Amino acid sequence: MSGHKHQETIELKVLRVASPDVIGQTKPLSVAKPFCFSNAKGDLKKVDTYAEIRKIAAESAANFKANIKS
Amino acid sequence: MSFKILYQEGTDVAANIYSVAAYVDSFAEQLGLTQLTLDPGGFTSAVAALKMPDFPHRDGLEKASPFKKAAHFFVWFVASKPIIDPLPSDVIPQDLAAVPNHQNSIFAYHMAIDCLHKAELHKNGQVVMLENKIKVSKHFFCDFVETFSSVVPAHHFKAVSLLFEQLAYKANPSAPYPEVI
Repeated sequence: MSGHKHQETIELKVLRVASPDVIGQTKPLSVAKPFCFSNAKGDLKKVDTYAEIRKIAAESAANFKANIKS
Repeated sequence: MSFKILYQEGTDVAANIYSVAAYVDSFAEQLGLTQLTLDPGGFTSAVAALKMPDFPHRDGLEKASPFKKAAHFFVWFVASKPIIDPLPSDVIPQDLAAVPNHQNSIFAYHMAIDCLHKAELHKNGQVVMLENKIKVSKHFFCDFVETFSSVVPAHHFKAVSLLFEQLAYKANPSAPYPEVI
């Protein structure tokens, strides 16, 4: 396994997980765990942090929202 | 030091779960949603597909083009239907809201396209970066969502890959192989 250990907390604000045993109820989704990132080259887009993923997603959503009903 | 948004190596399915969850959560928040419900089984299935040992390319995942990787993510995400809640009609047009499973097609399309933005192509020993992000018309987007909202991965993977490739080449005219046929 290549790469370096990295710790980053991911704050999720909207996502909830459907509880499989109680129909209609949801619970928060928690994903705050360490991960290991790769040194591989040549692939899909790379980022430095999960915060960067959030920024990319927010920009795409803003553009989508502004144009899909225009 | 950077890491790949999708197809993270080394650990387990979890690393990709964090990426997809962060993306979907932020996208939903920006749309103005206050809650978006996931099916945990569908979500795990969608992300586990990124670790499939039988990636549908003859030389395996590592030698597959970014278009195939993006398409593989897209078809499995849409087919796994991880997002339960449809998008409200105050966010998207009525005709798009009427398409079953539109929400998974919309989220997966955007994440796949964002992952292709500044992706690297290895061609004839050279690295070509897809500098420009794919853009499509509203009409094309709605037809795309409707076309692939009931996608079957084994049947549609290659068609989606070819479509992503041509859209990326349209946005990046210097990237394609010579078009001679």
